[in-house]
Amino acid sequence: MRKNKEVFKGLQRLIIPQIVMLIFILILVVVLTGIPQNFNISSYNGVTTSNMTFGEVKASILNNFKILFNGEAFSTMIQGETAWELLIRTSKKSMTILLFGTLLSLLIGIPKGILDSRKSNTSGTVKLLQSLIPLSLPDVFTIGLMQFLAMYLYTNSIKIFGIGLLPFMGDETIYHSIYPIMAISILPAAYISRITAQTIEEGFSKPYILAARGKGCSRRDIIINHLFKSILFNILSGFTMIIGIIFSSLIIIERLFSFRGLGFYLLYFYTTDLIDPYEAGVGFTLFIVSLAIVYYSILVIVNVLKDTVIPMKENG
Amino acid sequence: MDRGDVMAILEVKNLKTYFDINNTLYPAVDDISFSLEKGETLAIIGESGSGKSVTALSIMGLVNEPGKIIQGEIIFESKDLLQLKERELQNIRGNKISMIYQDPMMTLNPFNKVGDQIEEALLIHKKADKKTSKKAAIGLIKAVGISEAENRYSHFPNQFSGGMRQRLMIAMAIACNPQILIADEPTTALDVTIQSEILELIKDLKHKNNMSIILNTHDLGVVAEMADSVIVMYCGKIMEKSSIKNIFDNPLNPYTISLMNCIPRIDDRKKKLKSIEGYVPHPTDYGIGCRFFDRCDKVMEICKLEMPELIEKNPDHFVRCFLYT
Repeated sequence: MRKNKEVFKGLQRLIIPQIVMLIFILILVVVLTGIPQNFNISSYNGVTTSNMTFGEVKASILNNFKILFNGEAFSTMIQGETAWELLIRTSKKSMTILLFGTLLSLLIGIPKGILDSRKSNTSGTVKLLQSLIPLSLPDVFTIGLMQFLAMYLYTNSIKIFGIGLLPFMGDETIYHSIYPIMAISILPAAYISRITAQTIEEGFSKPYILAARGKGCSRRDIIINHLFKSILFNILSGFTMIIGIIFSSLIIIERLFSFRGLGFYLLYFYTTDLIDPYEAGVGFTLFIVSLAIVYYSILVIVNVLKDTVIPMKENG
Repeated sequence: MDRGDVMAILEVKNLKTYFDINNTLYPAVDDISFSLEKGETLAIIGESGSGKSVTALSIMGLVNEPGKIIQGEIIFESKDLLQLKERELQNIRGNKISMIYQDPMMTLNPFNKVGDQIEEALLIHKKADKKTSKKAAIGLIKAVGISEAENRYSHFPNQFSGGMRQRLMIAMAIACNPQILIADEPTTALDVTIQSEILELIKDLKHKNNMSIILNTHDLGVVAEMADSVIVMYCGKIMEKSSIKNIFDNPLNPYTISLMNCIPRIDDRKKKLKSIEGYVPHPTDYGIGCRFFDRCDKVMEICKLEMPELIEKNPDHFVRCFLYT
């Protein structure tokens, strides 16, 4: 009973700051997205003027809060469907990419990291470059390269994975999500691979790993029985960075691959002239708020997992 | 123990373990040879940096880079361990030759339950199922004197004191009933009150399991209590080796004599404890002569110019010093 109370208190300590931070960010987002899109400040001959009064901007921001709280934002019609329906439909698409992209990056990153950690010092530079090159290149470039590859394969009728030609744009079928999933997993996989390799390399210098080797453990035994928790802990610790990479890539990927998910619509609302500015503003606010909530929820789950599920209290 | 009656269970011949730093080799263990008989406790003594631990790790095949064994043979069960593949060595480690390490606070994995760590060797070598190995692990925890073994099985290392952790390390080491137990300064990191308990435990287990022990220590009190024979090492070289009786009654090498003089005596009323002047040189500073010459009170000119050979001065009493050549 007492232990449960302690766990609950621990969770409170972990979650409450995150919720406060989320509320602060959401307020900031709603304020920023509440500023009318045609609001402009200009300066001429040292005189600064704006096309709207402070009262008008304030009213627009307050209205943004109001429509969110009274639910009007959700029922606003955007291109023939309510904002809520659009949000749900696009969320499903984006979540597919996010979820499978993350899984794929783990599936590629961890084994790659294990293999990397095996290499001798002579190939250390090559090993480092394999992870550092994708991490140091701009994400839009890496994703662009992926799309070029997809286009090349498609235009040259090259079939992969034994499932025929894969479309390189659009979102009509499940096959359309394969390239976006692959594209979104590249950077996180490089990052995870680096973390994994580093954890193993550091782990092998620990006295308890020497003791495990002394018991007759093979390298495989050591990684599975003695280092896997550390690997998972370090990956979870690095997940703040990984989630950041994944979410920023999501917008670029959905735009480049014309995959109409949350990220695609975020840019669309901001740039299109085909939707009424008010409806676009409502949609933009709703979508960015939803993304922020999803982002923070994942962050909280990861942090709770890291600090509670995996016992990492050394000699304490 | 009469060394003539029994066969060597382990033979180390001309072992050289060097450290490769910036393509220059520095000796940590330099051309040492010795043998260990069945049931014997062989103590390797010397100051820090004398090569005791590297010798132990060389036997286990656990020398990490930049260290490497550049020459020698380690014969166990008619096989040279240095010629075995990693897979074959894994079958011997923890099974036939086990090791207890210096610092129990660091050598237990803080993220795994102690029970899992003890039964690991059983799962690997004895191919035991989880249920049997758990039962055996609980038995081992009891055998090393930890109460409430069933309960303690699921605890993490941070829930144990230093002495208890060393007991757990011993339980891990003897899980597969090894023929040789290498104890590398098993009491150095422990409280004085715990030291004798751990030594008693090792002694008991040795008799119960009929193990041979290589005991690395710099504590001559421990040597006197535990060992059958002694090797005195300095800067990677064997300075003297003989039976415990010869070493304590008739030490020959000036280094051994200096070590003996450092033992505080209850009947000695001098206020200051004796010590050996100077420091153990770093491997990069070894000269061509005897490595002890600059700390030796019987140094001669030749000591600075040549390394003396290890000679059998008396039957079964070997010494490396120009005083006896």
